[in-house]
Amino acid sequence: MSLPMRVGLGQFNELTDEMCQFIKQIGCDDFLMNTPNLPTDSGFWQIDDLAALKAKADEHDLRLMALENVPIPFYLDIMLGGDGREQQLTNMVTTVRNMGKVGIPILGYHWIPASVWRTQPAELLRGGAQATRFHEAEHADAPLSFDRVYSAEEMWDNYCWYLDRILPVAEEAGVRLALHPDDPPVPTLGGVARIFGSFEGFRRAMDKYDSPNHGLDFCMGCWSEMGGHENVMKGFDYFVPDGKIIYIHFRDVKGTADCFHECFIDDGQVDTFAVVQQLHALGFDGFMIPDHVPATVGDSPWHHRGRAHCVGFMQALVQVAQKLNPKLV
Amino acid sequence: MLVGTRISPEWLERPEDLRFLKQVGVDVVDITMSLIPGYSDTGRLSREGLARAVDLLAAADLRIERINSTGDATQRTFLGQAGAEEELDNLAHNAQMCVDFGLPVLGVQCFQAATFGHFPAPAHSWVEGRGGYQYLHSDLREAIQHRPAPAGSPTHEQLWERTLRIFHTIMPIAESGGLLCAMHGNDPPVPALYGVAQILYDFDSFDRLFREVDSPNMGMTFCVGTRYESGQDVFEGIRRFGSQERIFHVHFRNVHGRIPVDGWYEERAPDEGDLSMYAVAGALRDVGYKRAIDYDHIMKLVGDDDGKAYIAFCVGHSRGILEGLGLA
Repeated sequence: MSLPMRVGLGQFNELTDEMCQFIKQIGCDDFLMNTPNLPTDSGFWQIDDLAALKAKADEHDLRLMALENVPIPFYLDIMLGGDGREQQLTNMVTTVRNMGKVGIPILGYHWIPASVWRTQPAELLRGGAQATRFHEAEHADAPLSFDRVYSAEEMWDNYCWYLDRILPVAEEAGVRLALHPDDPPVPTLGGVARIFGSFEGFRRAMDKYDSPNHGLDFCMGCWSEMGGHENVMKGFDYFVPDGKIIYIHFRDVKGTADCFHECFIDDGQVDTFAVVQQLHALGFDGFMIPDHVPATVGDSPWHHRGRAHCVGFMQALVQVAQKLNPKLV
Repeated sequence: MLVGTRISPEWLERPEDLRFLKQVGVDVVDITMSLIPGYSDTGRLSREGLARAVDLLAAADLRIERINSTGDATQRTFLGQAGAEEELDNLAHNAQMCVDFGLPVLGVQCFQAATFGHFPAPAHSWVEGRGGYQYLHSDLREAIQHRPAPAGSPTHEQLWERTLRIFHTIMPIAESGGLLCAMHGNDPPVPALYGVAQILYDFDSFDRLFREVDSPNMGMTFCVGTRYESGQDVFEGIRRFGSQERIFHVHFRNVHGRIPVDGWYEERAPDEGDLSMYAVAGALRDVGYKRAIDYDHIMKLVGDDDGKAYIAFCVGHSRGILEGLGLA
């Protein structure tokens, strides 16, 4: 059954009763977990561990929509074309199948072995709140992240090797794979090419691996870094009608890919209300979550307050968009 | 429109709490005079105390939008007891202090029946909503039963006469100093509780107040919550008082249930009451309202002992609504 566009929560890795209550209390029914704290000895996620997460969500009448990111060592050789990739593929097949058996419908993934990069110190926002920033020039002398340089062509070949093999498994298992952008979306960092940092990069991946079980974890922050409001709208206009937006990280920045800082959701360079109105008009029926939020004084490590602020803001935008255009609901 | 919030007394002494408000997007604050040292003992605002409060807020890039005289500061006046003259003198002094400090809005409490006394049980209780969050449920079915007024309680007409006396005392100061006086009205909005009269519970009573205190500086805190609880049409009220330029402050909270229909009401999170808060804000915009909206009462979330996550949620929600109205 199709659900309307809605706001959820996520980006934690330990599922407690209190977390479930908090999600429900601020008006959300959907959540995802980022790299859940599950045993990793086997190199894949065991069915019983996944089932326990699903059961906990069900107990609280919540939808566990996605697990975002397996630990990088689960598929590092796959991304880099290393010797262990056959074994890692076998393990990833098991993880995807286990998720399907348990009924967790989405696996978020990325293609950034060198990880997310940020620059110290933090950027100061209104009231002294702290947000992460990135300034590429300050990383000019950074060492290689791995043994050598990895070219864009090589990263794409490795990507194709993986998708050729994992996507049919996901289709059979009823799991959707959602691709997150390279963050920051610059051409290369630490000697590793970042191939999903532009509209063209995503179109190439979505065209080649065109399946209902393949789409985007649309990180609005990264898309904003790539080209501001226009680029975000371009991405939604192109990918929503084809059902390629599986879920959304609803954050924003000020700046460009090579020099930006994160910000409060009401204070960025994207016209967030125009975005939500357009998502509604295009019939987006997925969920969106706060992603990174600025650190406010006295907040918890997971930023309960910052996320509550973002959820309140997002819910208001969704409610207004739906009220202004009720026929589409 | 601006986003406002009341602050707890101790926050004035905790700069980080004020910074938190600024961080999540609060523009202005609402304080009670009891936050100012000395006021609770003397009934008078001290210049030094008020200056310090203004400075502490300014350090967090916040300012006072509304300052409220406390109910006890006018209780002898309302009850017709000795000491009323002193209360009125204090009130005049306090109004002048607001003028001197350029504070935009002064709130003066009307007589609240609950302060008269010894009601058998509180009308409100905390109940659990979605996920176990706690919100206020107020059941007035017993309290609003018709019964004789208890001995010593002021009559309807006495309350009018005494209320007008208060405003006739402060309006000349307000008018000459550009100070706006905002009447919140009764909470709960009913003509009597356990037989004790109240006089500012519906639109007609506000109309009467504005007729009797005929000044452009006399207006109201349009409390969306109490106006809805009263059973009257919030949108009609916004149009009526907005077109008269009587709305000086807004309490922007959502409610489920109305007293005349249900006998009870519940103060809910902004997204799950009977009202569309977007429609409410839109009505305010349409009448040209430009001052603060304040989410008002704080409900309880898990692990949120000091209410900050709930505040953040409400401020975010208010900001989202303003964004949707093109007012951000």
